[in-house]
Amino acid sequence: MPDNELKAVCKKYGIFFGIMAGMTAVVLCVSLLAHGSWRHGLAQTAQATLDAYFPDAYTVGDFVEIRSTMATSAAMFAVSSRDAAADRPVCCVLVRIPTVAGAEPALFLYGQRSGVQFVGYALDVGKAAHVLNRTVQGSTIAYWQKQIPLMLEKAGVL
Amino acid sequence: MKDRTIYFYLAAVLTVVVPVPGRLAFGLLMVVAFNVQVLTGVLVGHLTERLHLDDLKNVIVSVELVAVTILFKQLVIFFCPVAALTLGFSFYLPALASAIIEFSYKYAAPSLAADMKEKALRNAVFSAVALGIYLVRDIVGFGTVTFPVWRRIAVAHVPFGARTTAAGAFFATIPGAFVLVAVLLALYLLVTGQFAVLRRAGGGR
Repeated sequence: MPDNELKAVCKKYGIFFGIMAGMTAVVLCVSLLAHGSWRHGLAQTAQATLDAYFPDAYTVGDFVEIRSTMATSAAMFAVSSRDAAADRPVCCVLVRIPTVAGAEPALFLYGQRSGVQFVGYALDVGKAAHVLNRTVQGSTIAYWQKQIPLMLEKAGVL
Repeated sequence: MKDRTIYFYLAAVLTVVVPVPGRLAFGLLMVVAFNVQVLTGVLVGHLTERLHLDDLKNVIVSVELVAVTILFKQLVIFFCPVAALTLGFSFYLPALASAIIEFSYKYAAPSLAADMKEKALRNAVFSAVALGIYLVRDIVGFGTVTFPVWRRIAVAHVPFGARTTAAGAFFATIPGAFVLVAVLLALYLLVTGQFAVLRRAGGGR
C-alpha cells in the first residue's frame, strides 16, 4: 500500500476511533455523576410513597446494592419503623412493574413477619387507580413476592 | 405533508407514544429524547461527510444514536430518577424507529443548515402530535396533568376528573393509546380525503 494511501486510511480510522473514544468518555463521566442521583432521588421517592400510604410510620435508610440484572429497573433501601411495636420492616423496593397502562413505578415493603407487601404506586395514578389496582393484583404481586426475598438474599440482607 | 409521510409519523408515534405510560411528564422526556436523537444524528451525519468518512457514516451515526440515548438517560437520572426508572429501556425505542432512520440517515437538503431546518420542522409536527396524545391520555385517562420537576414528578388533578369515576380510564391503558392513534389516523385520512375531493372538484371547473 503506498504511503499516502496508508496515511489516509490511518487518519480516517484515527478520527473514527477518536470519535468512539470521545463518546465513551462522555457517557462514562455522566454515568458516574448520575450514580449518586439515582440513589438519593429514588430514596426521596420511596420515602414520599411510604409517607403517602403510611403517614409517619417508616423511615427510608441506606441504599442496598441489588446484585442482579434487576438493578436497572429497581432500587432497594433499608427501612426502619417509627412504631416500636410494629412488624420490623427490613427494606422497601421501588420497582418498575408492567401494568395495562405501561410501566409504572411501584413500592413493595418487606417485613420480617408480614413478608412482601405491595404498598402502592410511587406516582399518583389518579382515577386510573381502580383499573391499575385491579390488573396489578394476583400474578404481578405473586411474582414480586418471590423475587424480593431472592434479591435480599443476593444482596446479603437475609 | 405528503400522503406517505404519515406512515413515518405513525411508526414514530407507535414507538414513542404507545408503549410509554400516557403521562405528559413522560411524554415531554420522550419527545425531547426523540428530538435530540434526530438532530444529533443529522449533525454527526454531516460531520462524517465533512471529515470524508462517508463509508463509516452509518456505523458512526448508529453508535452516536446509542451513545446520545445513554447520555440522555443519565441526564434524566440526574434530573428526575423516578422518570428514568419508569421509562427504563423506552428511551432506546425511538432509536429503532423507522422515523429516526429516515430522519438521521437520509439528507433532506445538501447543506447542514437547510437539512437541520427541514428535520426540525418535521420534528415540530411530530412533537406537537405526540404531546397532544400524551396530554389527552393524562387528562382523560388519569384525570391529572403531570410535569417532570427536580427529583420528582409533579401531579396536578384536573377539576373535572373526579376520582370516583373510572370513565375515560380506558385511554390510560395501552389498548386505549392504540384506539386514540387509530382515531387520529382515521380523522387525518378523512380530512385529507375531503380536501382531495375539493381539489379535484375545483380543478374540474
